[in-house]
Amino acid sequence: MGSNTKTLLALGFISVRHHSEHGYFGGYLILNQLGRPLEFHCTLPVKPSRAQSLLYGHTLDEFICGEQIAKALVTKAKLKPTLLLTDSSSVLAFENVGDEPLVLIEANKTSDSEAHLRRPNSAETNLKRIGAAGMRCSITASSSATSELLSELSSKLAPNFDLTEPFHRIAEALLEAHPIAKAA
Amino acid sequence: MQSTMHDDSWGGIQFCQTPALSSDSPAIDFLALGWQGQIDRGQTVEVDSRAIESTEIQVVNIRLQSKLPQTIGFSFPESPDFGLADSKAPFAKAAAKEASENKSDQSVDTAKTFAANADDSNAVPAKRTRILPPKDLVKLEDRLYFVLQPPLETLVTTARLEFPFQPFPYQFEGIAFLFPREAAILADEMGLGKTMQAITTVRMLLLSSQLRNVLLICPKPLVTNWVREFRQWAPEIPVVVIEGDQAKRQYIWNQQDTPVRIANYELLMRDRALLDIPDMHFDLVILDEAQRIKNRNSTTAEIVRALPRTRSWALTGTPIENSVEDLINIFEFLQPGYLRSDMSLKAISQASRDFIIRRTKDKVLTEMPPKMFRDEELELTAAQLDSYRSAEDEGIVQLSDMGETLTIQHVFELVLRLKQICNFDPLTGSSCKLERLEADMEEIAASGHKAIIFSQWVETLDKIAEPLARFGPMQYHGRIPSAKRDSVIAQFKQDPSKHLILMSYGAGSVGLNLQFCQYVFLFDRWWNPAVEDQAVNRAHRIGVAGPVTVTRMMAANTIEQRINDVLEKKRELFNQLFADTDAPASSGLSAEEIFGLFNLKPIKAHKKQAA
Repeated sequence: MGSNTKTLLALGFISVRHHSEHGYFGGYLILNQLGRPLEFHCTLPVKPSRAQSLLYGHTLDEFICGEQIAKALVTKAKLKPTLLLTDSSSVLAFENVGDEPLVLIEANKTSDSEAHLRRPNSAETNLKRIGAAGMRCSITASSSATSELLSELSSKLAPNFDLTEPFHRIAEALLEAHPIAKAA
Repeated sequence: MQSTMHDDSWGGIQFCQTPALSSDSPAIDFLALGWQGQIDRGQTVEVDSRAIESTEIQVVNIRLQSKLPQTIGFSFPESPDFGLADSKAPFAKAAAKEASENKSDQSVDTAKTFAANADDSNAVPAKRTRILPPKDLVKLEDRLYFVLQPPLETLVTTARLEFPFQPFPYQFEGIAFLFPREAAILADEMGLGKTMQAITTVRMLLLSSQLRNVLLICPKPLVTNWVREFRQWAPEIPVVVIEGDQAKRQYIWNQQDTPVRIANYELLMRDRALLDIPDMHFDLVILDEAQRIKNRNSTTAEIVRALPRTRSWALTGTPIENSVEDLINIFEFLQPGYLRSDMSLKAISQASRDFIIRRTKDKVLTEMPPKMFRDEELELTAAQLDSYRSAEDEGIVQLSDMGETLTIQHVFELVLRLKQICNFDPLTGSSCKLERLEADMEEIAASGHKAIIFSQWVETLDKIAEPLARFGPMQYHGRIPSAKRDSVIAQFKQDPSKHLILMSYGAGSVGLNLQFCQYVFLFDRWWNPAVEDQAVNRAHRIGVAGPVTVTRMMAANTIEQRINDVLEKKRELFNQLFADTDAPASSGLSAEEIFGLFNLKPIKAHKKQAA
């Protein structure tokens, strides 16, 4: 009875969580304009080596989340979204290794099931706020994302599309895919 | 200061003359001491050369990981559209209009239409109900498909699914529970909207092409109710009732592409031969009032178990009526062999948990007006008491004299006879219950309210109708043809001179919405409190305007009281299996218990469930 919805656009949501024992878990969810899933990718647990920890120091989160995890996830996906969104500022370092426009969304409070996981955030302070029609986000100085792009995208999204909600889905999916990351 | 050199030398060393100091400076003299002779010896300088070792700097290479992390990924099919293009919207809007006109019929008075909510483009659902995969779904990809779906509230809004009333959050939870399940029991207490939850889930699955044909089986009196509910909650879904002569029924059974077909249990038995259709398959079979298959060996149970299908859902407010066997037998339809009689109660409870969802009004409708029970223990009239005593004494003597020929049927007949005397004296027609009912009805009619009176006998209802004629009694029971029943309900609802409706438990205990009634009288008691609860919940439903007063009439010191005592004790079984909910239902009477009402012992061969 139903018919297929022609995908007008694809949005990519990248989220990374850190488990104190098992390391970093990255998830990448591509949604269409109605918020329905098109693709999902996740990394196996990533544990930085001792050397990486020493050498990258306080920039370790950025290196692992942005240059390693986000790069791996975006590379693996078949669809190329118009815009990437993340709830973790450390993922913004992806711009060092990738070309896709990426924005940071201020995330809501984490749910109880993921309360034991850390959302890696860098100390990056040099962010610029941009927004359009209900989309409010931050970008780095070198980002290719613009208010015009956001404006164009928001006009195509379903009216009740909540841009922070998909990150909860990713967190749940990470726990589903990696039971070791669940709270003890 | 000036200085001049002197000729004095010593030891080859020329000394300078003591500088001439100014007259006011102190004089400085040099004195030769003995050790200074050593200075005259020649100086020897020895040179010792040493080679300096040149060291190489050691470099340690630390290899940094250059490989990107490993990933796993899944692609999902292009998201299904729910198919409600704007051209179809008028159907939904017409249904919403109809529903709002019949608002008191259906649902909450505080609810706004969902369409109105959806129109508010800035509205973000306050609650997010997630569709979670059932535990028996093993493949990660399948589980993630459900985990990654948007919240149900978002799905229905983006799909432009309109509802006549905004569903309650617990109803969304029920839909989210049914949606991914191939086997499920929706066991909500009566009045919480099992019908709406099932219809909405079916609607979403049909519109998203996850289902193509659905068979709904319900008791015959409820067929029109289901059709009406489908029209209201899923106006765009075509529904066909399987009825008519054999040729017509055969034709309908053959229509595999009909989205929803509705059959009744009685018809299913008659059409058993017609179901032998090659390649017949249902994507989903729903059993309403699924307790109808509680007896594993009944023909009805055999027929429904044989229906070829992918999904199996059971709707029932009373998954256990008599014993845990009832639940096991419902599971024989859902998942054959999954529950076994030799399992402990705890094991059955654990194993069935992921398949059953049950909510009670007390838990989810905290703002719903209360349901107040009033147990009226009435003294029989003198005439009733005489008849009762002689009937009981004679009956017990007769039963005792029967010896091994005594069957449960004999005991049952005596119970029924005594219960009838508790209603009306067979000789004089006097009745302590009628006297009380008449008095109560005066007050109810004077305040403009309406009441439902339940009895297990149509004859009793006839006897009540005559003396209460001034209150405009309507009748709804097995002798009223099905085609006329809807108009009876409509007249009772709309006509202000009709203050009471007389119903039999069989006809009026399920599927009816009578929430405009604030009084319910149980003139006599049914064998099973679950059936009584269903009857009471005709009035105490979502949308009820005020508190519902339920008067349970019971003749003191009679068989009625003894039956009640036995049934009350049996509620514990239900509590054990559904520990987190209230116990609205309990089991009926076993053969032992029926014999026990008269201190008799059953013969072994007759030890089987009786009620």
